[in-house]
Amino acid sequence: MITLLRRLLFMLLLACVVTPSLATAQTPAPVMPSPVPAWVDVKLMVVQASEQAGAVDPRLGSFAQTLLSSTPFLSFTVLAQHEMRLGDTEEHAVSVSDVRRVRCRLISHDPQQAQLRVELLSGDTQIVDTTVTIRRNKSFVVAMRSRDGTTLLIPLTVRY
Amino acid sequence: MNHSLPPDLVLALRAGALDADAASRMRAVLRREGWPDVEGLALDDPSACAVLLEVLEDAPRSRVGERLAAALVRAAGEVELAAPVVRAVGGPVPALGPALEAALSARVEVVDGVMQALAADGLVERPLPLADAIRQEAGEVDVMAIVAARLGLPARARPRRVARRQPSLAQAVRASAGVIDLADLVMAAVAPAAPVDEDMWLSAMLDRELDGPEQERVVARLLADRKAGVRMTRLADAGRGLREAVLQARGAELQLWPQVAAAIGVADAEAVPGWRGEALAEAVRRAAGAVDVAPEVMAAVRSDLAEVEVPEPANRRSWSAAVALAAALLLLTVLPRWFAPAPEEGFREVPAQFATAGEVNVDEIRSGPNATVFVEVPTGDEAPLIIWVDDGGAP
Repeated sequence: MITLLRRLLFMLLLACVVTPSLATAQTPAPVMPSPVPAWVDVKLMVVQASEQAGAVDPRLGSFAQTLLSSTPFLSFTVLAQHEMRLGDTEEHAVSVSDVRRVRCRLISHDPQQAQLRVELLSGDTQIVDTTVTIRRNKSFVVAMRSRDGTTLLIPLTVRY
Repeated sequence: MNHSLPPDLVLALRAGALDADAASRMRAVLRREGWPDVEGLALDDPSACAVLLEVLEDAPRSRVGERLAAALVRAAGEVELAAPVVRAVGGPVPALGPALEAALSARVEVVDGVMQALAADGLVERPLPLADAIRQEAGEVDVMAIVAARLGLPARARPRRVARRQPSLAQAVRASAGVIDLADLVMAAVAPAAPVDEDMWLSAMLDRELDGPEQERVVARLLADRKAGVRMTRLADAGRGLREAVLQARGAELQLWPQVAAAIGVADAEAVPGWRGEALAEAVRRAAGAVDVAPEVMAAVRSDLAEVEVPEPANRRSWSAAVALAAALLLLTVLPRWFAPAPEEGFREVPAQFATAGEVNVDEIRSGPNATVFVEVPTGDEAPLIIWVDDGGAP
């Protein structure tokens, strides 16, 4: 008797567990979310670079060693970090100095790469306008050298 | 003013010549003032007049000064020397030495006349040996002969006088300075500027040998000339190939310095004067702060550890096990659906990495009216793509 009762209880519990699953299975299969999110995060760092020996800002992380070995600069200071979330054809601008802005426009993206338009502006004047196709989760650098001798490095990372 | 000359005589002296009447009156005044040998004064000579006036106005009225001035004035032709000498006569006669030296540096050729005048007037026992000493020291230096010898031309006639008792000044200079090859300096000065190989500048830039204006010039060229960037990349490739070839031929490290150090007598080839390693370590610690390497170490260690096999439970499946299994199924199948986030919520952290050459492409690029751009394409896995922008002085 006790054994029978145990079996009944077990079957009841099993039914509680399985029934919702069966019910779900009978509904039309949901559309799986795309492996490519609808948005892309564009991360942008504003780094002041100097050829004088000095400190390397730890916020540069893994960028530091590469910048040290592939540019003539010996010290780096992160002045600002920005992040913008863009869908296709969306754009956003951030200030990188008193009068300079960087405007990014996501043209398109797919599972492998994104096409990004980057404009460097001084007020309303365009200094450079470039379109870059870059592999997902990778970075490149815009280096801006001013006549006063200062150099700003702007690593841009496209993440999604 | 230390004299009592009539104004018309002063004017005549300033004019540079005294007529016979003025000269006579002048001599009378000087004789009355106690000047010796006034008859010998060349008062018709403008230079002598100028010196006389200067002496009368400025020189101390000592006996020595007056006699000296008179002697100097008599020494026609050397009057340029008289004024500074007379000014020096404010003190005793030996003070003549420095004054004469100063004067001689400008007009050595009048030395003899002055010396003879001083000796004739009894101011010095014998002519000061300064001029002779200078000549004995220097000898007669024939510059043309030296230049001719340097250029391989036939020498002129032998110099008339040479050093007698001491080595000549030229010999002393040579002994001190060693052999100086002027030919290269002269040729560098007169030769037209050699054309500069532009690749040499690019190579120097690549090796970080430039700074200041040179570096700015090369950077400006790189920004303006895309072909220069290509050449620079080619140079970098060539340099890398050369380094690899050398390393292959000579091993991983070229250790030339120990042999060089031994050859030039350096006892400890590795010692660097003034180097303090502990100071560097302290500076690094100050800059880097505390660095916790434990997570990285443990991550490396864990990857090498074998998975530990967990043995199957030996206890018998029972009622409680069935309940536990059901609860576990409940947890695994139902709860995740209740608490799972929306599919596109949150942000997935991905470590940042620079794109390699095959992972990035500049599709289009335009610069503003004054700006220049240059795209540095990565040449290896480590280098990033850099878009160099010179803002052209934009605000």
